[in-house]
Amino acid sequence: MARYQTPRAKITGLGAAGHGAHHYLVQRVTALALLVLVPLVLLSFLAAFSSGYEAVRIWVGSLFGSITLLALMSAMFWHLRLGVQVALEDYFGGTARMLLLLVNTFGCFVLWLIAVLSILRVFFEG
Amino acid sequence: MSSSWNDPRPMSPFTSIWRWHITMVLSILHRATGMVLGAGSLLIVVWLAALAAGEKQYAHMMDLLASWPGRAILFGFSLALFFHLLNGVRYLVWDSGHGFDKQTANRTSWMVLVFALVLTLGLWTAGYWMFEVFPGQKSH
Repeated sequence: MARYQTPRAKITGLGAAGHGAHHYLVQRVTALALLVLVPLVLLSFLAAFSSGYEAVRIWVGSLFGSITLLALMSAMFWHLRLGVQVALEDYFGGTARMLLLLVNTFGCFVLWLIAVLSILRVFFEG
Repeated sequence: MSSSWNDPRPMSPFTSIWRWHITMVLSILHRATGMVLGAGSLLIVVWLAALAAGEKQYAHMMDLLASWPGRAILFGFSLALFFHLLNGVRYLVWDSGHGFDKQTANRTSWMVLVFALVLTLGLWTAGYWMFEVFPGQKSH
């Protein structure tokens, strides 16, 4: 494969699995998603919060509410994982780096799973 | 690249040799608030789990959030959120190739700080007086 690469592709495509700019792009795409989702969810919550448990469950369990929340959780934890990864790579090396990167990945994944299951539970219980 | 830190040269972000300036402060704050928001994501997940678990668990969670330490944490979280959000917009604009000259970067730094504070205070004003966000708020 590599010998068919142009010199430009060779320098721009360096990095894991030939996707040197992949994390950079995902960080910005999730940033754009969060830019829309965060204000949307904040405003919706502010209105639902005051009316208590039932109102919040109705909002989270609604089609619009559950979709925006699921999208928010997904964009948020993906964005968080990449951001923390860059910070870890800046300050740690060797075994510590490897272990912390694993903790970061698994931690974000588990938190995302709990969030998604909680939202789906409210959605299906109605 | 060596994998162990035995290099005597200063590490990023070079706080020991650079004169502090506003764009540098915001760069450091962006990472710091990112970490704060990461810790705060735990709070969001616990809150969602409490909502899914039932009314009793949710009420308990809301009591914790409505306590004064809870409110202080929420206030810090919202300030970090608005700062990170606005500064993130600044970075996206930079990525598009605009506003990277020194004067503009310095000016937008202060704009981000001011607007982050304004939005945070706006959110709490709206939360307190328009929506009475916290349960039993009137009795406090």
